[in-house]
Amino acid sequence: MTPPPSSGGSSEKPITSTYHDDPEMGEIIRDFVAELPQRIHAMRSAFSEQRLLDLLHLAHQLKGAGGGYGFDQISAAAARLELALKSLQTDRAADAAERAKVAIDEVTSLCRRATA
Amino acid sequence: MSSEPTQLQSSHAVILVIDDSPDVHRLLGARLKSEPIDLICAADGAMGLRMARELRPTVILLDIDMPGMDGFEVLRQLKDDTPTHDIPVIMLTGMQSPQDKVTAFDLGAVDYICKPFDLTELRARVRSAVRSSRLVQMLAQRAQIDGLTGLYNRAHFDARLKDELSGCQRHARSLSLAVFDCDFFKQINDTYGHPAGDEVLIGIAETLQRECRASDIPCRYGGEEFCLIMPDTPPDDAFRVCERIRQNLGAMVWPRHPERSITVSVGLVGARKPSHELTAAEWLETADKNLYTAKQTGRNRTIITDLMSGSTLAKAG
Ligand SMILES: [Mg+2]
Repeated sequence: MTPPPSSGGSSEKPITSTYHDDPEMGEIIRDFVAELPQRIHAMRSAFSEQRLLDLLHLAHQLKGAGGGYGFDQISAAAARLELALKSLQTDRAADAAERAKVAIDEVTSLCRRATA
Repeated sequence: MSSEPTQLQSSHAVILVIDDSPDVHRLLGARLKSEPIDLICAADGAMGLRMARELRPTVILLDIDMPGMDGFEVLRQLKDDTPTHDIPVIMLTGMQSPQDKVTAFDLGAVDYICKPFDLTELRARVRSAVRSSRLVQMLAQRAQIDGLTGLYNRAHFDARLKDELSGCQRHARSLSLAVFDCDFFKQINDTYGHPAGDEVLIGIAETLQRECRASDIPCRYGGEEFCLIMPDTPPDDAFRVCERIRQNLGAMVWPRHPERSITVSVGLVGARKPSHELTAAEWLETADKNLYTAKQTGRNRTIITDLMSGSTLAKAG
């Protein structure tokens, strides 16, 4: 998967798990990373089809999982997405949709950069 | 002795994880792989409750945030239900919810672990819960076990006889009950000292345990008196068991007093189909009466009552 071109070099750098040296984690980190494209696909489809509840659920799960596999940035981004979706749900704030869009792009980019 | 509770013998604790996220199951599986535990997984609250009741895990790890039945409701039901009431529960919580932790403790959780899991903390908390769970189980078992002989004690016997009797009555299955009493025990204590007396009690206990079947329940009733509950055993079979025990004991040579053999008198009662009329207390009374007769008529013998035929027979050795 090719990340979108960007001026900031850091956003293209692959990110590795903080547990990448941990032998008992190797296998499940590989599984997690291998499944990320499916997760991203599911989230982006839910977003474009406006299935907010589904998206909220997926974001919540990714938030819980990312840090466990040593990808704290993914958890943090998923948390921001969850928050934006919740405000979109409640106050329908004018900028909430925009923030959600930014957040899901951010999650997408991080997940694409994740390596086992 | 051999009555050491099974939970203490097995090195593997069973940990039940109730969490809706497959990632959590996977992460815990990896993180606890090196621990001496068996991890079992439930994907929702209802499945978790079912597995907890059936498998009686050593410790439960319980997610709060689950669709459908949430962790608090699962915890409430675990604590309401006798078989699962004493299983320690560790809640799996998110970082940002202090109120959840308070609620969890109020409902009876012993601890919590924040997600994402910190490896060292996770292992320490799970180990600590396993340790205290085993301690509680051990104390509960110890309260039912006689310290000297390692057999079940009177408290266990009383409860167990009631259970076995009502089970056999319900299913029309046979049941027998024997009371053993060491002959001239006071003399042995007086002549050879209390350590010799203790050795005799331990010897009787070991013989009972060795000579009865796995389904029989030997107990120390108190003093030099022992009971043997024999489920699914008609009186004539029980009689053979008792006679074997009596004869083996009589033939034993005791290191502290090789010149002096030890005998027991036995009161036995049994029925092929126990009627609903007699209570556990009345069964014990009949066995005691037979024991008394055995003592009166020369000791070292078994007196048996078959409750179905109403006949009482004396067999002397
Ligand atoms: Mg959950």
